[in-house]
Amino acid sequence: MLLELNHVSKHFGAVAAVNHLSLSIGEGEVLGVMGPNGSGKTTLLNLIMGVYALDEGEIRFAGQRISGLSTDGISRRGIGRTYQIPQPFHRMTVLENLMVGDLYGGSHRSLKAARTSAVAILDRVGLGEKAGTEARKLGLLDLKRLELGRALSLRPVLLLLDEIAAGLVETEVAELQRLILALKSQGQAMLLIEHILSFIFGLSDRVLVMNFGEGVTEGTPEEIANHPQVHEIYLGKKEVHKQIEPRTSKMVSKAEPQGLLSLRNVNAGYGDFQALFDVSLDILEGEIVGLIGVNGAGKTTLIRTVNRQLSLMSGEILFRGKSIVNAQAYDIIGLGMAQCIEGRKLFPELTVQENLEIGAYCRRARDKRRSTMGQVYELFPILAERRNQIANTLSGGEQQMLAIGRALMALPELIIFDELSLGLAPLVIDSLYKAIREINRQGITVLLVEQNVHRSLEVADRAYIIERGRIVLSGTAGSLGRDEHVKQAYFGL
Amino acid sequence: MSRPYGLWGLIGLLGVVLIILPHVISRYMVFVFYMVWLSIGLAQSWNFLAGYAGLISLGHAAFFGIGAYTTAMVVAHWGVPFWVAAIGGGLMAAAFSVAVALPIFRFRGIYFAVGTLVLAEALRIWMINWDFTGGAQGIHLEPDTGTSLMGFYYIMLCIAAGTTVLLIAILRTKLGMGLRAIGDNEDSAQNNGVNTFRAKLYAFLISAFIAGFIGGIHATKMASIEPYSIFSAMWSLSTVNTVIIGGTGTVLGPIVGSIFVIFLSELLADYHTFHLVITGIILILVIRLIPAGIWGQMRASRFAKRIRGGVTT
Repeated sequence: MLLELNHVSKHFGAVAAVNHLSLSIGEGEVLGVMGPNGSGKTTLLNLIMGVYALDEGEIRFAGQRISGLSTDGISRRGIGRTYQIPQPFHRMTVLENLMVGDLYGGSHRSLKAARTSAVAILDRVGLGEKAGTEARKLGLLDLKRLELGRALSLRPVLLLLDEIAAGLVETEVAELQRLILALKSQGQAMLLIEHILSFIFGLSDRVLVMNFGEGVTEGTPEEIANHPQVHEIYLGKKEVHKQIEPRTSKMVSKAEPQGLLSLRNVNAGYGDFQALFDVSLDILEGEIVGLIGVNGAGKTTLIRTVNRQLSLMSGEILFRGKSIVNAQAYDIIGLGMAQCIEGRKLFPELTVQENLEIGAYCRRARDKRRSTMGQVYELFPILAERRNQIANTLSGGEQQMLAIGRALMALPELIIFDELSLGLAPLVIDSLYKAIREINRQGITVLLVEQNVHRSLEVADRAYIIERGRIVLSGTAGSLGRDEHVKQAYFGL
Repeated sequence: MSRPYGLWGLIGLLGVVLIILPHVISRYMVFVFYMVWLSIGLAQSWNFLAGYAGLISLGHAAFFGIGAYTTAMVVAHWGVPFWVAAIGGGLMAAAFSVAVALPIFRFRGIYFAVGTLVLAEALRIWMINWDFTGGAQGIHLEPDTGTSLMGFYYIMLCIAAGTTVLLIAILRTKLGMGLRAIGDNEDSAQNNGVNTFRAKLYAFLISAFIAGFIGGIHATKMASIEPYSIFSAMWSLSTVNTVIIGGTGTVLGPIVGSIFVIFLSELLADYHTFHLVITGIILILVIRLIPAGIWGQMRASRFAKRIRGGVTT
């Protein structure tokens, strides 16, 4: 056994990021690890590498206890790690980047010998042409190659790959897959964390599925791909949640629902790296629209584009028929669009009441502050109880309610919810979704961004499915709920 | 790394010029050049720490001052030749750096900078009040009549050249690579096997030793030192200034910067406070417009086509 984790736990305050997890990797084996956002995968890597100390359990590598050693000590023993977002030595050249691991983790002390080793790795990862280029000048695929190369320069017995394919387009993913397959055929043991399921299934000998910090199940890729529990984790339970009333057909009082938010052929991204491709969607007044996709599909990028934090490469965004492409991010709320960002982003040191007051900062909402706050307290009585409590002392669910309340304070016409259910227990999520129904009933349009397919389809009128930056499927909630395509779009099978 | 022979010839010529120089210029100008060499020496020791290893210290004056005082006291009490005493000064500064490393390395980036500044200032205030070292009066030495101003010129010239060569040498070692890695991304360095605490410690004590040694030589030349000036934050800040304006993380940057800054202050010598304002404005302009510094910018444009693996200057 190369790597063994025995009942490993790590807590951050009350949250168990990793909970009694056990796993093992044998020599030459590739273990894939998957799980929804917040399931503890990156914490797992950080525990192995000694970035965090264990609260319980132990980690053994090649028979020796490594829990408690320093990060550099662990890496010298032969574990190489890559980061999700590449972290190269940016001012150094590609070749120099590859020399560090060899000097400190390998057997060489002289720069000359290290240089020779580094050249060999260059070719293995396909960076032969770029030896003298400064790392900060590389494009994303090359940065990923460099990330892999740096880990290899340690002559690692085990490689830990953290979402290495994240952010790449299809052809680049295929390229990277080839590279890793070559490493695998050379007998390299690896732990592979991935969201791109075709990638992880194509490379792993076995797959471990995590959720809420625990190991849910383990098996061959085929077994996992067809495992009903795994489907449930990603897509949600198919049964109707008792607390939420079934969706009645929408009665629209106006003659024809107005288009509130429209995206037309939007292309957007981060510098060189394009994340949205030709995205078009419409949200009508009074609707609840779901945007569904796996992690890394582009949901958050889409939201950031809509609220103008990200610039467009091309395309149009219309709010109430008027283009908002040139609006500033801080004007958006004044226009009538509020949002609950992923991770809530409350003002942690301020009280509940103060957080809500800031929500009504914009002109349209300021005068009606008192009455709006009353309505928020009616919707979430627990916030009224805790109105003078400091925000970061609230529980996860309460914080989410506060975030929703703060968004409501701006008297928006449209609210965007980004990953509402992240890290929350099912019962709490039920009550939040009830609140969304209520909010919509009072006339506010909702765009609901979620990983959990079934939950969002239960509450939405219509939904769009986004995959790798493209809208691949859309329709009414009812039709999508029955659609096998949804499962296909998710699991890529 | 091969250099064309022409470059060696140029360096040789420059060496000859610099050796003859003090004989043909005024006594005052010899002092100015002495300050340039001193500045280069200090700047290289700081550049090593901050430009390459990313440890932006604002407390370099502490090492300089400790070296100065140790040397002065050793000479005053034991009559040891000053250059031997200066080595003692360097060692004392290095010891100090090791002593403070444990707490100060808990900080990174901007907190580290502030921490070192506070440390240096605290030390200055301590020295003003410590009778053992003469308190506010400082220490007076018998002027070392054995060495003239010109002699100190040559000594500092050797130090300036020596620290530059030392920097180049260290950058070609395993430690040098490790420090550059830490400067670029400390977490990644750890993931690549670098014991970052130890590497930073080595950088810290090497830098401290050099600064302390230079302080010792300067103390001997001044023959009279007191804490207000020898521990003044100005030593730290002008060093930082010099390296940033010249080009952080380059070997020639501190040289270019020293020449620029000191000659600028000579030019504006009649307008004392005005000169500080001008230097401040230049610093801001450099940071905003040419962050690579004067030499850094020149190097990037000229050598853009000659991309080569291995250490560049």
